[in-house]
Amino acid sequence: MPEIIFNQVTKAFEDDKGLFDFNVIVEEGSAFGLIGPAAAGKSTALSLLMGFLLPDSGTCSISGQDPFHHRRTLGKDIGYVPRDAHLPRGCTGDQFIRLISAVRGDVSRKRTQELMERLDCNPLGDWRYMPADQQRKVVLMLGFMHSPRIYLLDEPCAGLDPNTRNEVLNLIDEERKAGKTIFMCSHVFEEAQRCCDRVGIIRAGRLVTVQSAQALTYTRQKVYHITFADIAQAAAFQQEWETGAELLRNRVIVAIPASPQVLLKTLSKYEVLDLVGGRQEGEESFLRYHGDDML
Amino acid sequence: MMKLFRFELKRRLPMTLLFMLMMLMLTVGAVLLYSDANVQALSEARAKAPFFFQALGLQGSATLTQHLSSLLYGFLLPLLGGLYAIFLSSHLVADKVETGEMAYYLALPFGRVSFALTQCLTLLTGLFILTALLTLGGVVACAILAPGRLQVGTYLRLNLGFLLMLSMTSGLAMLISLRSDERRHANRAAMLLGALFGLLCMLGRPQQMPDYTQYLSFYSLFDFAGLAKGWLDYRVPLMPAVTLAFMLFGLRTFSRRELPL
Repeated sequence: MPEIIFNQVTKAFEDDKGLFDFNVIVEEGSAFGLIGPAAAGKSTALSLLMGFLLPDSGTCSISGQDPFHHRRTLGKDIGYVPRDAHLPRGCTGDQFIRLISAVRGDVSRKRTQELMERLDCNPLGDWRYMPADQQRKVVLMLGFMHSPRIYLLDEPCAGLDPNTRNEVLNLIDEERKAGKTIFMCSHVFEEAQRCCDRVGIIRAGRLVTVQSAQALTYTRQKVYHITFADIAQAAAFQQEWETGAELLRNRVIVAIPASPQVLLKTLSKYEVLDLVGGRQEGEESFLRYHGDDML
Repeated sequence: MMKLFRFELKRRLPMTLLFMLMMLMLTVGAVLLYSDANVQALSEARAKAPFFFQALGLQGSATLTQHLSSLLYGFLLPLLGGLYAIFLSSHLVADKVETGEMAYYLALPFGRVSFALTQCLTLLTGLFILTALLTLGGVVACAILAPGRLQVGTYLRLNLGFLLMLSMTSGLAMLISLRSDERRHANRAAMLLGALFGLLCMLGRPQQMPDYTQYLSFYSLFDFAGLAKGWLDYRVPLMPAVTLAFMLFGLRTFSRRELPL
């Protein structure tokens, strides 16, 4: 049963940014990751789901209800982690967590304590003077502490150290396995890949592709740095390879999707001094590649 | 939402006390100025520039209450109280939109109207605390510095009128704050409109001005001179009605507008 629906949603801003003809359906109990570069429209999608914005055209809904007009009923079921939201000035993280818990009324102390330990969160200091990662942990606590049915997460791991990032991804994965619905925005491919069933790529406000997280992994390019015995061989290889090969003296950089079998076969004809590879390309180039290809 | 109300009120207490102290200092100063010589000097000055003095509300000082009303309630206290109402209302809504803090409140299982109503209640309670402490301070100051000369009942009525007048300013400021995405913008707009209506009110006070000028500003509903003489008329219940109208309009706007969060 569809839990989150975007139906031909367009929300345009003055600077030609926004979201255009956006169609996504997230089934109940599944996790959807929306990845894209900065200002691609990811947060706009979340703002529409949170009822902060109204679509110019099209409709979006959560559990069949319009988020702008049914905040009161949806608020109980939703855990929202915003990207850039401050806590009140002069307020400690702990005070604010207690306030929101008290206002919600459905937050168990055990859950809060457990989250605090898992995230290694110390919310006692004044928000203004807290390190950025601690601020992020407090924001995560606020979104997760009431064990909602639906999670709307905007860059949940932004600014976190690798250990906490890992723990947050585990947490999201656990919630997904527990049957919660997750709509997560990120610009980091691995995050969406690890926690989501399906991943959508957004670029300049348009949804470029939606694939299963697994399928996307295989289509993702890997970069190889090949050092040849001399420049002539490097040039000959570049000519033979034809596409996507960059020549740097006696070194060639190639980006290929999926298996390196063909590359290895081709290289067997050359004297290769060094082969460094298999690293997945950077997020931006990945998105650029998909964007240019698909648009 | 009562927890949010208490949380906000507690956070705004230092600002409330700061403004109250400033206003109390002015009150104490005015009480200290109450002497036959000063009243006489003021009266002579008024005779020389009646338009200016009438515009500022500096009228007769037959009693201590009238003296306080004349010196403070025509300009100085409404100015400070108005600033307090403007700053508080912008902190309560526009600032939260600007910093993104609003996202946490709107993620709660309450409607926007519930949140905005809580903030309106916080604002009005802050004004009540400010005025109540100021009144209490004024009574104590008069009891110490000019014992037996203050007509307490009239002074209380004057301050009730003052509270209702401030609530009108707060209604206007809250309306602007509920429509704004930035604290500075909300402050500027509310100060500009407050100053405009204040100026219109002052222009309507001098006797030389045409009658209709008295009705150009809602601030004219605060008849501090009449209240200091113990009069209560139809204008007193009109003030909360104006406040209510501003706030209802603000709530309606806030519940329908988009928020850049």
